[in-house]
Amino acid sequence: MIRKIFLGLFLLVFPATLMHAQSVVAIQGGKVLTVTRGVIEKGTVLIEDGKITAVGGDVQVPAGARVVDARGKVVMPGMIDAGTRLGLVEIPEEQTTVDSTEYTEPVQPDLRVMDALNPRSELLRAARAEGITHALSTPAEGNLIAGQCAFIRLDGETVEQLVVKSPAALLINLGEASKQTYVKKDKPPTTRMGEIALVRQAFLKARHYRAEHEAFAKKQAEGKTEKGSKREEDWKDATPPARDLKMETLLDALEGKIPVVVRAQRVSDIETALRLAEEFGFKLVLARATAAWRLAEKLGAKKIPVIVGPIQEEPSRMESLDTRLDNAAILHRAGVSIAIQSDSDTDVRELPFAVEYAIAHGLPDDAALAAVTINPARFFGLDERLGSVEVGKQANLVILDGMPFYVKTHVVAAFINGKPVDLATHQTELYDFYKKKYGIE
Amino acid sequence: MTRASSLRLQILLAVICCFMVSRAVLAADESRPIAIRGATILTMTNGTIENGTVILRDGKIENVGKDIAVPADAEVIDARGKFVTPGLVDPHSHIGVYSVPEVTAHDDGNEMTDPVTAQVRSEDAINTDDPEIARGVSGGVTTVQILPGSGNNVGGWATIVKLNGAQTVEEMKFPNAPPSMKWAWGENQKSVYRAKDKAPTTLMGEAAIVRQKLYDARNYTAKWKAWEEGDKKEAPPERDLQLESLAQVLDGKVRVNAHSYQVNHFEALFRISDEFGFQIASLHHALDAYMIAPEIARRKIGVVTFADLWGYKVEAWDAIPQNAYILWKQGVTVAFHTDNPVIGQRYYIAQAAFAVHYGLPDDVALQAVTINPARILGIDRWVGSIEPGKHADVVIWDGYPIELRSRAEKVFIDGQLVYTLDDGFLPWKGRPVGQFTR
Repeated sequence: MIRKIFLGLFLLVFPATLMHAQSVVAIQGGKVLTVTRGVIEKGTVLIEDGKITAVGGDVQVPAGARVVDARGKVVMPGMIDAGTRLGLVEIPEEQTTVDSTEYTEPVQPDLRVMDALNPRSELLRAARAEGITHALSTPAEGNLIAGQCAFIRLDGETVEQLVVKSPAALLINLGEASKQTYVKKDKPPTTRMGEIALVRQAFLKARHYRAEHEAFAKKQAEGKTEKGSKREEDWKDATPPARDLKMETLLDALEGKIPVVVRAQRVSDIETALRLAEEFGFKLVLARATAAWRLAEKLGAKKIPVIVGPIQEEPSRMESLDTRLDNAAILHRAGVSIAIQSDSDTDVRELPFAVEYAIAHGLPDDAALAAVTINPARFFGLDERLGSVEVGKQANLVILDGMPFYVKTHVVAAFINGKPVDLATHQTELYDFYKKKYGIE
Repeated sequence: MTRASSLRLQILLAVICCFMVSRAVLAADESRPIAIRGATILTMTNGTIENGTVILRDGKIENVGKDIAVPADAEVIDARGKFVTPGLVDPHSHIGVYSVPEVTAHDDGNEMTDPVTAQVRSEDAINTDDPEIARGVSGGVTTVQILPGSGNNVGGWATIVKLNGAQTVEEMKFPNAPPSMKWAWGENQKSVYRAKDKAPTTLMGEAAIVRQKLYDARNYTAKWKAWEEGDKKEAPPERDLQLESLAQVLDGKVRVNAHSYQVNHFEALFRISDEFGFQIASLHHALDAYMIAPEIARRKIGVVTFADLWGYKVEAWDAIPQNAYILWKQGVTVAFHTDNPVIGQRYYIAQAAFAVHYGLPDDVALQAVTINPARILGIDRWVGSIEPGKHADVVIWDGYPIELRSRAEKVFIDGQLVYTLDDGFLPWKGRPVGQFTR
């Protein structure tokens, strides 16, 4: 009875405190890899309202906070895969489930990944179970100016919840795949010359589009200032130049509002990307970049960010003969800021193993960690919200039972925007069923 | 004798001398044993030997153990802190029939003109200059089975080879390897022939076509038998390479490697093998094999699978990374494969590593890339473990091989050093085309 009264009193007096404390999560005692501020051996991370509110070795845990015991565990930011087709593809060989390949014309900056994302995709669950909490989702290769990439979090019931930023970048695919698509259709581009002519023409057209709109706006403004004049009459009902979605996206790129991710593999294609960026002044992010190691000094000097991967690329194309496992390491040594991508859909969950290969071939551990956390966040202008364990950032965290990327390390918990995420996948559900069926431990 | 001819003679003699000397040096080197000392030896069949020694002589493993005598004339390799495994055996690769780069000219793996092409042989297509050979060795792979592709229900004859860098297939071929054939069941054959508007376009069609062909082969055998047992006054029946190949399968002389994914594929294959009374050696890919693991164990069929290749098509949608684990628990002999070029030949060891990530014990995972595939191919008398008498196919790793950070540091095939981390694939050293082992 007394206890009940006490409880009632408590609830009466402290409801606000209680509510507050309950919404606080404290991940306590883990080895925290902050990425930007070093390693805290026995650290605590506080999460409140989806954000990180404290990080350190001697953080006061508020009474009533939900404590997650992370002793003996490693806490790090959720990994970011800088190039995937997540949400766009379900079963790659079933065309009805593939929305990444609008191969109907080579210049399609108006396409938005956001309009095709499927938040119910199993592939999102599979990836986040291995600690990947965010990804850049891009159209597939095979189209020249392929569309607008979306930066997504791998948790959400709706597209709106999934999308962190759209457009996050414009994608241009140079090289073999883009021309192959149109060789089959007997349409341009069927050569690299054709590809670049189309890209240049598109950007020039966008400049002209801007000039037309600016000229119209100027004339209209001038007309308005001449009260009662015939010119005002002329301009009041004048139709502005038509809006062109393709041109508007290209203008965003030309004006530096979004970066341009250019996928290029062999040396000549990487050079072409640099030439285009110089001619039109867009913010270039190189991707795939198989032969980038051959141009490492130049890329370092020009401070071009590079998304490398797939790390275990084979010399399976004429344009990938320069593949080597220490591409990432060589670029890093030359001062290039790198991110790592899986460039995949169903295999995004193997990103940590790819990182391990890059480390095996010379990429320092801290650079490898940055390549799947803070660097990709920076490339897409999201480093104030994501990519490290810092106060004020979104609480995207994973807890591991060992050091990241090691083959015997497993994800034991993950948080996206402070919310614990379910680590079950289609595969774990099948395994659980058959394990039980056959009495296997 | 003129001066000129005398000079010629001198040159000739000098050349002969040089030749003899170099032969002598070479011969001495060949017979000089190699002792790998101080390593952790993962034997695969007899546990782990810490700080052990392996002696290689005349292309064979002469001895292995903790405290064994090192022959006085042995070339000693200090392998303290390193790990030694047998060379890896990949039971399913298309190396050389789908060479890299994958340009049209290299497309030699699938004779997709008829769903039954039992008569074709991968050995007639293997490109011995495929860079994947060097890359495979850089990942510790020494033996591979090269299969035709999976476009047809009966794809043709396989070839088992050593990745020794030889210029001819004849020199690469694994001596005395049992005959082996590629079969395939499921989506690929349907999609290949649907595109041609030919049968099969369903799983029903696949079974009907193969069953009819096997009856044709049975009739073919009967016709020959009748002729052999008769007075032989008539001309012998015409030889038919396709039916002859299938007749050998019915005769139980061929190891059938059956590409298949789902339970309905496995069952169709079981029904056919029961109807005609031959054994299927192994199910390949077999991503859903875990669902009927006890039945596969009962039939003593091996499984060659991916550690984790999920979701790329409908028949791969239920793949789980514990497939190998469940099969092993149920007593099935399990091996991994690369299906190169699906997975790069050099990343074969990663299959074992991925499986460990998902719960397979380390030793089982390593057996699944060494002794188990050797057993499935019927070559375990010669390769797949570190045992005296076996081929000296040995890998020295700079770390524990299950860890992806470890790299093959030295690779021996038949006792010859063919790869070092510093110098790459030695048989191709100095060739103008790159070795692709970086």
